[in-house]
Amino acid sequence: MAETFYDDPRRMVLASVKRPSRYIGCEWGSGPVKDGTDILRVCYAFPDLYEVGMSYLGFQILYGLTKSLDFADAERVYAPWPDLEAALRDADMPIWALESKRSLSDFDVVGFTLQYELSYTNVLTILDLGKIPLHSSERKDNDPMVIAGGPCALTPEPVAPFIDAFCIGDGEVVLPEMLRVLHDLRGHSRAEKLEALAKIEGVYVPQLPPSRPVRRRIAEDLDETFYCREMIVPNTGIVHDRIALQVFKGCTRGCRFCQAGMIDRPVRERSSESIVKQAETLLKNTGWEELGLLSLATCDWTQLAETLKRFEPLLKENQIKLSLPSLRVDAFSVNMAAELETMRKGGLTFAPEAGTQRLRDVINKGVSEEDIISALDATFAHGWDRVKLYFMMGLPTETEEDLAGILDICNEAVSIARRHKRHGDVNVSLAGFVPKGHTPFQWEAQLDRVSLRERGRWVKGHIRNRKVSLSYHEPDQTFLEGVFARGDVKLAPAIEEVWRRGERFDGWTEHFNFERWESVFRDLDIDADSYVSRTRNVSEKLPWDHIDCGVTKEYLKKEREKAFSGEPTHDCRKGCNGCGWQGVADTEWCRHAKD
Amino acid sequence: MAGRESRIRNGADMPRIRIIFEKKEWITFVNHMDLPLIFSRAARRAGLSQEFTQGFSPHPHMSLGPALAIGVTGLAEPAEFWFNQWKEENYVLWNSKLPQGLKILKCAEVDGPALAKSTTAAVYSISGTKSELGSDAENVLKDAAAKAGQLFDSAFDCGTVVLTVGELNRCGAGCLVNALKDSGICSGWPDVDIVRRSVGTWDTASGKVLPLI
Repeated sequence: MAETFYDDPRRMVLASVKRPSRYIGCEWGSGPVKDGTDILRVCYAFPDLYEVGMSYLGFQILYGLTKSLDFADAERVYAPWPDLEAALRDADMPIWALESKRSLSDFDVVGFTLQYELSYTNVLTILDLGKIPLHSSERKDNDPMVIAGGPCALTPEPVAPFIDAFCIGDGEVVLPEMLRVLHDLRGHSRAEKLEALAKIEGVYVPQLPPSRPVRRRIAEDLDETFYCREMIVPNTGIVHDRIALQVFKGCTRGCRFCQAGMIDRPVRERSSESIVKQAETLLKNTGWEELGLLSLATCDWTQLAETLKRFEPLLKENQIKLSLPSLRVDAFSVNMAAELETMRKGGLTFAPEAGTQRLRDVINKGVSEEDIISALDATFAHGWDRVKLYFMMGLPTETEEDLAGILDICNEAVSIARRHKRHGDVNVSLAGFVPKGHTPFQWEAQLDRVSLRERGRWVKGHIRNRKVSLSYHEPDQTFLEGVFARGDVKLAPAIEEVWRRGERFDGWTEHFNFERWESVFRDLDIDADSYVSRTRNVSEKLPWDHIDCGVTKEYLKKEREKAFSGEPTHDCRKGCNGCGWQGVADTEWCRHAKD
Repeated sequence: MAGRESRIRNGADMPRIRIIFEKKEWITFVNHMDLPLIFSRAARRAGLSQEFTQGFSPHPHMSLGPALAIGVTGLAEPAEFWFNQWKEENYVLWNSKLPQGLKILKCAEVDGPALAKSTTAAVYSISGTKSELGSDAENVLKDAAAKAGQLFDSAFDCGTVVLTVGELNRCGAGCLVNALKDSGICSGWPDVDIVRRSVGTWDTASGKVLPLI
């Protein structure tokens, strides 16, 4: 390392790139780096830009948790934008951890989170710039242990050759055990470490295929599980620039398309008292001026009304804004948002997901026509001028009528706004449906790229109202997401090759280059279409069968059948549906086995 | 403006606090426009009660000095903040809540002309990172400063050019680096080390930059 900051060659590199503040650390709440040789050094790596990665609550939790262990320390790294990557390669300089500016190869553990399939190429960029061999099999005893968690770790095969061990389930419970083992085995061989990791419940080591499925681990009592008392406060604007409080994990709605709702079961709530106390502590320790309540469906939190009441003086006294990221589609939720002074600006966002009742029943969205109308009515009655609506296209059984239903809802929104004499801008986002592993639709064919584009154009082309604007996701990206979401290990060489040919930041339209992917699939003789275009047989072995997320395959099959007969499954707070967690998890709604 | 209105509205006297701070090492890469949020979050952490502006989107009332380019060290940068109450010892507390690299060196309650009116001059020192600058660099920099803004003074010593310049919004570090680049003396930002040593009021009589506190 350089003698002083002024001689540091990294300073020269940063002087030549855009937004260098992404790469310097120095945030309030980061560090200090622990001294000592008996410390297990962990670098958490987010395979996307700083602004995105710093908005991810999971790393804030794991960072604090790791630093709270007396034998470990945590630092961070984010994917460098291509300008910094080029500068680093020019200078033959390794990428550094923000806190100590150490090279990644000097860490004991590098821990990735896999939030999104289109960030896989960035994992390779970080490993390579960190001077860490890309393949688990090529790593030597003194190379860092590369671990990964997050939702994509539950369908891990496409990236399995690059990762030494996957953490399946809540990092709050699995990681401390992994880190303890790795600390105690410092100086031992990689093989010994891998063997020890594989023995931990909830850890999948691809080099040591498990004899029975790896069972997802969960934190049962969230008030008693580690949560943030401090957070890293960025020096520069990020995507979600606020305190994030996770008020519950899981979701009871059972939407059949939603992977998060299936893999994050069962629902586990924080208590109001504990959340209010955490909010007070974090407001004091971070200085943030905004607070967000996070979960898969915050309006479903049983403690919400009470907590909002308790927040009131706290927010007023400190001029704090409060935000609820996702509103349930009903008048009740809108009325509640209307009571929050700070939600009054901008617009509200709803996700009806599908345009007709028939299709909403297929996906078990649990939102009626009446809910949608009353939510829109309440929105404009309370004086909001804008709504954003999320829909999907390419859902199983979708017909033109369902797409026309999207248009109907948009037009309805405009006329409701007119009735309330509001401006009524309706902004629609149309995402291509990607069937994901561990969901009732995991066997379905994904709608092909050409049809997705046609349907997107069809909906866009049939908008007859200037108040309605619509954008649909790029079908090529949707296709690729689908390939990797249900991919197997044979896709790993394609990720590596496309990365070698320069592919980066696939989730960013300005960098995504589909032709490059197509040519790689062709050159490696990989039939990418085969991962998405066919309906899989329910008895066929799936590439993620060795990962047990807690929901049984029988339940998913049953849900699939109910989907095709348009039969809804009720919210499991109203009675157990028997997904597999009943009698297994010691949580409020699952404690007792189903009769 | 908003601050004055609320002062009248509340009928209270809101202390206007001028600070002189340094911005050193890695945090020099943080944009000048990000500093208000950094300082006001630190003030919140210190439990200090800032005065808020009125209007559609209220925010802590403050005023920054002339922009300091990204990557440039500032040894004595001014800024002003309005608080609901102020005690002398607050600044120690405030300082303890700032991120690494930012440090308040002095502070004082002020009235009189706005900060922007008082900041008429700055002293920059420029040196090379890869090779020493020669006296040709001094001439290039003098010309650039005089052309872009105003040149008050210059000196050259052991490879470092020290310039005292005025018209700070037009004559910043960027135009000095560009001048060196255009003349072929360096290839750009990575080759130079720029420090803004002080910002203050130019005093013609003494030929010096008077400090703001």
